[in-house]
Amino acid sequence: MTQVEASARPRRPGLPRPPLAALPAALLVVGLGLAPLALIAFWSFWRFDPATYWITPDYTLASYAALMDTGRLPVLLRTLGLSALTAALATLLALPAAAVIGLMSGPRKAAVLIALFTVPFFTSALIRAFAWRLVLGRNGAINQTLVAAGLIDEPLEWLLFSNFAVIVGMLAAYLPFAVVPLVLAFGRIEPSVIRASQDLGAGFWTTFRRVILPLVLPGAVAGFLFVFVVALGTSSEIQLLGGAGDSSISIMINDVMRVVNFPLAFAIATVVVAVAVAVLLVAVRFFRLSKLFEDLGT
Amino acid sequence: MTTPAAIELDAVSKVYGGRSDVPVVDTVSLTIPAGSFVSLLGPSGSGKSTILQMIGGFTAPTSGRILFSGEDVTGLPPERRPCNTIFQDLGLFPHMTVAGNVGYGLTLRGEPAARRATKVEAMLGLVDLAGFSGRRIHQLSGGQRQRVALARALVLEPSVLLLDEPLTGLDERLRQQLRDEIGRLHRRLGATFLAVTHNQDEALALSDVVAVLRAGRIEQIGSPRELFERPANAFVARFVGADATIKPQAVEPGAESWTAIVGDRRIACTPPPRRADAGGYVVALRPERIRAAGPGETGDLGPVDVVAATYKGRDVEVETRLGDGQTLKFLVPVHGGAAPPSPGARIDLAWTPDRALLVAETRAAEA
Repeated sequence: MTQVEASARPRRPGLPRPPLAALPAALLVVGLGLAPLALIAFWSFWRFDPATYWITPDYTLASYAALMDTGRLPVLLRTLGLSALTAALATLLALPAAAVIGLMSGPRKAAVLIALFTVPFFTSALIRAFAWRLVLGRNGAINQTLVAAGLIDEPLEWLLFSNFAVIVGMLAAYLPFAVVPLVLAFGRIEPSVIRASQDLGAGFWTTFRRVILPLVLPGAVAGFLFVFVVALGTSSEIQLLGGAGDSSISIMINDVMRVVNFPLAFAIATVVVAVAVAVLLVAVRFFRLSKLFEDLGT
Repeated sequence: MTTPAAIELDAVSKVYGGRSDVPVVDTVSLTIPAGSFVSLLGPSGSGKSTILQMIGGFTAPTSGRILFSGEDVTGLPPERRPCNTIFQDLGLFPHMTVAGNVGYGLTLRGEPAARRATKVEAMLGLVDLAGFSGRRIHQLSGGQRQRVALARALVLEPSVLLLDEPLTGLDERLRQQLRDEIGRLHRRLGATFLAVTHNQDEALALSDVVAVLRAGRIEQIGSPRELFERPANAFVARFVGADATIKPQAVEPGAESWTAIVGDRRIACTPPPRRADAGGYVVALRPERIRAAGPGETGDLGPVDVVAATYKGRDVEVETRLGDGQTLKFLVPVHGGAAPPSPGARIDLAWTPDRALLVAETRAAEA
């Protein structure tokens, strides 16, 4: 028993060689993604003169210093924290939903269920966030129901204009980003793998913990990252559902841009991109995200 | 048989779908003696895999009972049945090493790590995979994966091992090798093996008892020799190897021998094991026992026209057409001396001293 099959993936015939085939995509990524980011990082080191509004190519860390000392850091950290919390909750909520779609539904039903998750994108972020006011407000649907049911005497104040409302709004908007990669991960599990686990003596929860969860972990991490990155850019939910004076990274960038302090705005953006890339690298390194694109089993 | 039954199926049926459609498994009763190797043989759609799934606990029977050593397990989930399964597509855990896969069941049983490692190593040695414990599943060849699945099930020392098409999807050389290994493991471990297969060679080579299934029912159950030499009907005869069959114009019953009339020949046949209904009888012959009659010899059947001769390695398959348009194929060994007849020739066929079997065309056990 010494034969070992080559584990290299066979190339499909008829396709151009990989470097050539990747060229259009590479041009897109560089032209539309990397080049603007590089410019932003570059300009973030220029000097801004608040007296004249002039921007001069002086190469200074002044914008980064400004980021650190004028109360902007808490906003940055708060947005990061809120995004991470939202991403974690979205991933948890997506697990059972994706399990039902990916494991228990036929392809047709799964397509319909996935399509339903795109409903949040039918309206603009602004309207979507505003709609939550009608649900969570003092006289909103939830408070009215709870009061009518006699469960509470006074409307709950913390439902709206709070972190709670912001997270609810973001979850509703971004859940699909967590569901889709998980559905794909669940769909890749061979039914016989689950049966084999039962056959060898595992009940449902043991099978879930020892077999299913490890196999969908890369999908869960990918979903977490998607939601985290998208949530980092949130503004509507914070402005419409957050408490008075609540800010976020994108609101802060907006404010800074309004006084044409472009270097500072770019410095904030650069930090956010750096954090996002760092989180991505850690995830790829520790959760073997490449598994998502690998042929499992056969 | 005096040995206790490892598995008993008591009038087990399975109907899929809301309405009472055609049952996939239709009141099958079967007793599998402990320590035996039993095969369920049948074409796809015969219900053999469904029977295995019901025994494994993955599908509930619509009616009937399943007993393990006399104990009713019909309502038990798979994890509480004293059997293990080799699934057709194996179901190996891709996120674990070979040792992780084989040790999975032992871990669940709370076996201490040291004892577990010893058992896993011993079992890997038994299936010829010593030294592979650290490998990942995707680094293994098809045959090696098959062995991991065997080891993973057998390390739990199940009293019953269920094998669902264990050799499907492997190339011919590997099939034979693994087939022999499965037989060796069965003899060595003394557990009851129940295999599902559509391959008659596999079933005949490995099994003590073979049950031939069609459309959810058992057509015949018996030792490989019984099935081969005394097929209960034309379906079993064709499925188990006598795929040279001809339909006679008439049959004349007799005491020790029946006579089938084909063309102007009267063919002496063994009496049918079961009486035929409207489907009538079929003369079943063994393709490897038929030969072209020598010059001057009056054959058992003929004359027939040779339509084609196909080289098949060990044999040449000769296709002939009878006077009434029926076709009959037989085999001429390549190294047997006699040259195979050429297409266009008109010959007589002979099989004496072998005897033709007369079997009922359709299932007629109830008639």
